[in-house]
Amino acid sequence: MLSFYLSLLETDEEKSEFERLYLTYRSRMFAIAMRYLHNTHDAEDAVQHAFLKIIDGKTKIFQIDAHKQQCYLDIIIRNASIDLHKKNKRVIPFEFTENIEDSFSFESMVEGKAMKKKLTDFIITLPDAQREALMMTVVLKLTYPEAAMQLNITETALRSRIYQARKSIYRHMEKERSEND
Amino acid sequence: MTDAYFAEILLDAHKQLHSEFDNAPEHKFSLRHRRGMKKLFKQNGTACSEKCEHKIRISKKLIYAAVIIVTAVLLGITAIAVATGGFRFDSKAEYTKVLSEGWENAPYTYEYFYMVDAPDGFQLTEYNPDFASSKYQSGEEYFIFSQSVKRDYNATYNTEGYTIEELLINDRKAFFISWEDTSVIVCDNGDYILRIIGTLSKEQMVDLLKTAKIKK
Repeated sequence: MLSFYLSLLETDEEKSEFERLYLTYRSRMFAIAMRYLHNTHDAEDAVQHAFLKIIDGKTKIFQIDAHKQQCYLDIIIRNASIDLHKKNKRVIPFEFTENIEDSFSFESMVEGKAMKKKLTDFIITLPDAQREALMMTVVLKLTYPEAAMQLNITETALRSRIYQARKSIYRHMEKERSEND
Repeated sequence: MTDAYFAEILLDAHKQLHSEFDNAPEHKFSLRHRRGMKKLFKQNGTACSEKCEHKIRISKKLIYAAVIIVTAVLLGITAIAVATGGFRFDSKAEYTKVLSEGWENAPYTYEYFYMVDAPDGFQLTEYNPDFASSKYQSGEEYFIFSQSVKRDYNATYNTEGYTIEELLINDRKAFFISWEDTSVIVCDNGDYILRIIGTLSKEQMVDLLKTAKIKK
């Protein structure tokens, strides 16, 4: 199976770029994996699984802006670590089952530095899974099927996470606005 | 609020959350991990579909099965002993017993000792005169160099799922086995059996054995 994954890296350029990514970010990825796994052996495995996942993403990483690649890798390694942790503990992954459409928009919200700071602070408090679902689709511009595959969840679960995140943000912003009024 | 503006905020939030990893200390990855990643980088050849790979796997299995059946029929034995000059390999299902050959003219005791030039960064951490073995360490990397009397050499190695690779080092018979975390290389230098076991790569071990010389 490993050679199948590797064959997905089509060109020498992609292969060397992949190696560069590994050498640049491996220690950072290892540190993130350690936060979840608390074990060097498992954390190293998580780094390797993460790179297999990246290859499985059919070189999507190479289409992402260079300054955003680190975010992408952060998300992939966190999920690889959680998957490994669940596997080791034999826990069945939790998934959303509702099919909820992404229907909230923020167009009516006030822009400005103060609001931006408040919104950033609030986004930090969102559950990791919801925030990463937004990151994958809004920042990294992955399609829903691509993001779902990278996060190892169903597309329905992904949509649900995005919906929940947007709903929370919308409510928070509404509350902020009413307090300001 | 535009998508670009929202993306900027999300990116800021992500960076703030992960700022503690911006200066993550350099981790020294294990040999097992590095080997796994090396395989990823070294992968060459044309793209092969899962179906194609499956066919290759089946073909390999058929070839292995045919070889085993023919060998069993011809020899009529379950264990296969292969004499290879410096060593005799007695392979069983789970392990291989290795004995030295041609020891009649070799010393029967430790008349002199060999040493190797440890690579830069490695320090001698243990020495056991009974087994003429020295342990060298550099962080998590280590190797043990030891010497055995040829007549007494009798070792058993786990070869279930692992293969013995025969080599020539300075025209002397040797063999190499690699497991997940460690590897071993054993060489018959004519007088004694020299062995290195540790986390070094095959190339490092071969180079190290080439530096073996009599300790004065």
